[in-house]
Amino acid sequence: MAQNIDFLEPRLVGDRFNGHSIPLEVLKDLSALEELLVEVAKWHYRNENPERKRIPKGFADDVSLKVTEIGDGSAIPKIVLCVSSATGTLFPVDHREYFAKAKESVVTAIDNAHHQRSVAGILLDSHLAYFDRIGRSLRDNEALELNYPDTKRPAQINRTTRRYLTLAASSAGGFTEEVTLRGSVCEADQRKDRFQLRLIDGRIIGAPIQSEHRETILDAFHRFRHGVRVIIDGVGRYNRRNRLDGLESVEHISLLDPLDVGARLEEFTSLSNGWLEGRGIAPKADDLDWLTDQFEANYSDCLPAPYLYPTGEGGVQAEWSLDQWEATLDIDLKSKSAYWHALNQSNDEESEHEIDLSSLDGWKWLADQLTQLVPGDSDA
Amino acid sequence: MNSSTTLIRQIHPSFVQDGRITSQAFRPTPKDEDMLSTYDGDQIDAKSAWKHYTESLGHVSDGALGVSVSECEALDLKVTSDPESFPEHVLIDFSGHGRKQIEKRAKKLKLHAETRDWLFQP
Repeated sequence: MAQNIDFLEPRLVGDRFNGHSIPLEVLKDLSALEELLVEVAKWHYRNENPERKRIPKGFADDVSLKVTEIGDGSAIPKIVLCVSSATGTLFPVDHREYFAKAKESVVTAIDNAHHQRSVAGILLDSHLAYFDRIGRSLRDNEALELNYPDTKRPAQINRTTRRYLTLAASSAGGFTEEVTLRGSVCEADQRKDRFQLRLIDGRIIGAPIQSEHRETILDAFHRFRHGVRVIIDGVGRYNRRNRLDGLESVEHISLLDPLDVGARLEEFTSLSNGWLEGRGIAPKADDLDWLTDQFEANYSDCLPAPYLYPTGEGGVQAEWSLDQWEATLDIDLKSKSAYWHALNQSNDEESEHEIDLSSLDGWKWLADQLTQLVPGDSDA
Repeated sequence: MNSSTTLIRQIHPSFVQDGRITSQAFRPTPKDEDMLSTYDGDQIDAKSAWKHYTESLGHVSDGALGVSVSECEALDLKVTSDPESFPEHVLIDFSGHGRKQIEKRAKKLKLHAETRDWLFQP
């Protein structure tokens, strides 16, 4: 028989968790949290029982954390401590006491990290290392609030706090984070099962060749000279200075279209003020990220891919050559607006229009225009 | 300089994607005060113009394209020498035209230049 004891109701905060759903990848984070709690519970047991040289048999085996339901509101997994009553020992340990202390230690450490306070003595270095995995799948603006519903002390794990906690361990050389990278495969070593990825800004980082991605990686490598790029979702390894050193693993890899919007806009981040005859204004990285997101969300793959160029005024110009039509969209990143101009080279027919790219209507208008200009579709 | 003179225009690397050139290469920016800077092809060849642009002026260029004086004039764009900057300097004057007209002329000039193909590429 097992006994379920209410233990933890962490709250997941962020758009992905609306409708109280939890992406499967986030369950990895909760699994790592369970590992940490078991280790900290053992630590508390040892501290309070110095005469015991070993952790009692079955200390952790008889206990597990389980998600029994997802609560309303944001996603709130209800986690219970499941204790087996059939321990098989003459002197059963009351696990609850040590797991409660473990929870308190973990919550206190996270709360300290949130306020940039020391965590020395609260957790050991070996415990802090778990934070390299706990919360790794969280994106910007997402968090795991461990002490919910105590809103005064939510003990929030987010990208900042987990980085702080990981680096608080004196032995930590860095931390890992889930990343999406674009670049080209400039080297591949099949003997060592490693490849080198040249990022768009020119940096080169190493990554493992996993068997499931071998074909794609070698394909990209063979076509390196033709400028073929890939997009990779994986786990990046950063040093203590927040610099990306390499990839620990690759989860997904795909060849990119030569006109991939994200890759092209990322190229513009390397421009600095004065780039055009000493006067060009460099577009801001945040604005380029916004434009990338807008294209990804609002621009259909069925439409012809745009050619993209920086403008001397710090904006971006999208262009299309469609049959006799030359169309341009001069995008002002500050105002999130754009000037459309299209010219039929054969008969000088023209159109111009101002559109608001912060609204869905603006993107719909653009899609309508391009659909009309695509060769062969006008009669459809 | 006469109507058949080729005007040499330097093209910034960011103005080329996958071999395609932006029409911006033939449109003055607001800071250009409606004047598009070119070289007089009668006075200097494309390779020398590129060397002057990159080495003497310290700018970057993927190569040189060209349009003729007559092509500019057909679009109602005045062409004038500007030797004060350097002897071979020529300006294509877009002043007096509205945004739509400038866009149209830039696209037309680009088409002329592409038809002529690269005059020089390093």
